[in-house]
Amino acid sequence: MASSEEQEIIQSTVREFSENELKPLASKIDSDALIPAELFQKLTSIGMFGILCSQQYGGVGAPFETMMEVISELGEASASVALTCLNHNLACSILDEFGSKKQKSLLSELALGKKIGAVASESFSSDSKTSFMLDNDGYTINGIKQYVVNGSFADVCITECNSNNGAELVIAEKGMEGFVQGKSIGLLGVRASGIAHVHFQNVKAQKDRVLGTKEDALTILQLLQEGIWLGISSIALGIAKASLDAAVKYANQRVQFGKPIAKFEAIQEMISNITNGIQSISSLLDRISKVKDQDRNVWDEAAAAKVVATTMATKSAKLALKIHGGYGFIRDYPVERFVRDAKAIEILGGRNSELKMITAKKVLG
Amino acid sequence: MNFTGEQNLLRKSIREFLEEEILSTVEYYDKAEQFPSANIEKIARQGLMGINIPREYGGAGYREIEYGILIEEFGRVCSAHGTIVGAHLGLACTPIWLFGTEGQRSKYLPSLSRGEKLGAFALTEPAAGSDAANIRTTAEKKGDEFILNGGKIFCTNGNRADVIVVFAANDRTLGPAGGITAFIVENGFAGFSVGKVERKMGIRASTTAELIFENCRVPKENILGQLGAGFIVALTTLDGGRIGLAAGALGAAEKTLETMVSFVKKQKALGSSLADKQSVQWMIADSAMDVHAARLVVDNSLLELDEYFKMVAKGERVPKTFRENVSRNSAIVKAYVSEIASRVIDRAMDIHGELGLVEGYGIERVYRDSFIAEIYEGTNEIQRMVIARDILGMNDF
Repeated sequence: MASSEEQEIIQSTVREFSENELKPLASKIDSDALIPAELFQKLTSIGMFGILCSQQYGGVGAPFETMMEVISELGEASASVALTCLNHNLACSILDEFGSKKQKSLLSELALGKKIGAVASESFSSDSKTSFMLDNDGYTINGIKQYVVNGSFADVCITECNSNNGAELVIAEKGMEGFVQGKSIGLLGVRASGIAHVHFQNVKAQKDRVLGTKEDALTILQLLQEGIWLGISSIALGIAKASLDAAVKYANQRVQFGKPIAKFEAIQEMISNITNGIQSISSLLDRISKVKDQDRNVWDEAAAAKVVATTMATKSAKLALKIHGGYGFIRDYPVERFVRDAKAIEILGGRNSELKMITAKKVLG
Repeated sequence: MNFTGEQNLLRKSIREFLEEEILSTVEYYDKAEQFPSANIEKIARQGLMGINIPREYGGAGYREIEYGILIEEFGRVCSAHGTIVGAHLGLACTPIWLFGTEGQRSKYLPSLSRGEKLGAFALTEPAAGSDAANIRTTAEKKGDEFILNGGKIFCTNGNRADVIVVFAANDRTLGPAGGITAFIVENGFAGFSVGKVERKMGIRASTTAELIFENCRVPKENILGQLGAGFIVALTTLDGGRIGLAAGALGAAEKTLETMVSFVKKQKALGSSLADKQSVQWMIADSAMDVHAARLVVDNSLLELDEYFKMVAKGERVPKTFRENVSRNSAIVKAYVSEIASRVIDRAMDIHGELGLVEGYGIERVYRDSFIAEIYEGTNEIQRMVIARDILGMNDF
């Protein structure tokens, strides 16, 4: 596990990287819907593909709290890059925690970004269906996973497979026969995260590709959901912070009616609303991540966090767009991208309307 | 409102035309960020580029209700196309019809109405956005001409237009009352050029351009309205423009509600429980309430506008209270309906889930497009300012 000093170093490194290197590229990443290869290298060099992965495999071995902070920093510059890193790191952490020795050997390449990981779980997209059948020497997987983050380019894909006996997790890899990765789908937001449909056409998987025991499967699925929800919440926080930053800068500099528009009460109220949202989500995530790092289950809190954080991000980005007036609609300014990215992560990774039911069930008993 | 049989027929024929001839192309033009010239030609051949202009000037001879019907129908199909046609008709043809001299009307309206020429409206400047009276483009009288210097931004159709209604300060010391003049500028006038064409979040098939005036020479007979009375021209034009804009937003909202309903029904037929979810039902109910209310306010405003513009075009004196009433209601309907449309479209996105995010499916484009209606022709924040000041009796202009 990384020391607290190491954690601080990685955070400040990422902050600097985000501000100086990622932010200037973010608009191009969005319009090209592509993370350039050089950027993957840079992300590797600052440990972004091994945040959670233990140090013995070349990872940073940071606690979840640090990952959330780092993902939020990345998300402040580019939600696409943050989402790609998030899914990759979750795949790694699951391999690290539940993988066999042989399975873990993948980690040395994953942690260094030589291979990219993805997670294909049914709960992230309501339309995904994968069946899987046990036969003598392993499994046959058929089906399709929709809207898989990193799906178009991932080398390793942790896949939820369902049979009559419940769910299991299978490690699928690029090059397996019948494992077909679709092209990146053109989307409203998080356009460069390689979100794609992944097809399984009679994919034969040996038993050694199954991750953990049958009992582990449920835990793993919960951990993955929890991780995605908290990670997306962190990205949402990043988008809201970026929106505030842009809105404040613009409101102070834009003069209408003989004064900066920041002097108008209506603008001040908007700025105040964005700020309040950021502060409450920030402390909420801070608290949940600390509890999670004590190995406690935060599944339902994570679901709630995803709802409130992404809703807050969309609201903040829309307010920032309003403050920018006509300029907000122009792609030379980043706020229209913030709106698109925020709306996309409201929907991806588990719909908010469904996550709200988790909270309701918990409260209503 | 009870539309006449003829108005209903007109709506039906416009809808059929747009669905058959235009609808299948709109995703292409959006993605390519390309001006849909071929479509505009088709629209012109239908006689729609001069719908509210009298027949004697080459128009279809309808009035503001029919203009509203047209823009609403465009809103159902594509807001970018609606924006192009709305700017041409509502912001260029209309002020020339309302304020033009006989010479100006017969010189410019026939080719504009037939769609042989495209119109635009240039008011906004870098320093004059919400603060529209603060324009810096100057018009200096020199013999029989006015020399325009300065620049305009965010001009819809700006790089495509042949005829542009341009606002310039003839005397900056006078401010909006007496200091601003409207001019009819042709794109071939010496000293006129097009600057930057913007890349936008939505309405990507329509163009938004910067206009540059460098000693641009405009004959004095091209003053639209009176010298120094340009701000009234702008405000009156925008009173109509905003109602048209609201009609477009209504069209988008109504169509989106239909899309949402048919999606849920289709999912139900496929065995999904989507339709049984109360969250989904309520989103549909809320959207139906929104669209119903929007329809009433839009239709009501169109009636008022029709009466108002009839008086202005005849040169009749418009009672101050009536003018103020139309103006305030135009601000109300624009802000209200644009926000309704955004809400309905946002719900459609939620109901469609991931599919709503996918380019080419339709919702994604409509979502990106929806934001502009809350911004252009005066942001909704400015509309609120105008409405509140009017109600509180604080208007100084």
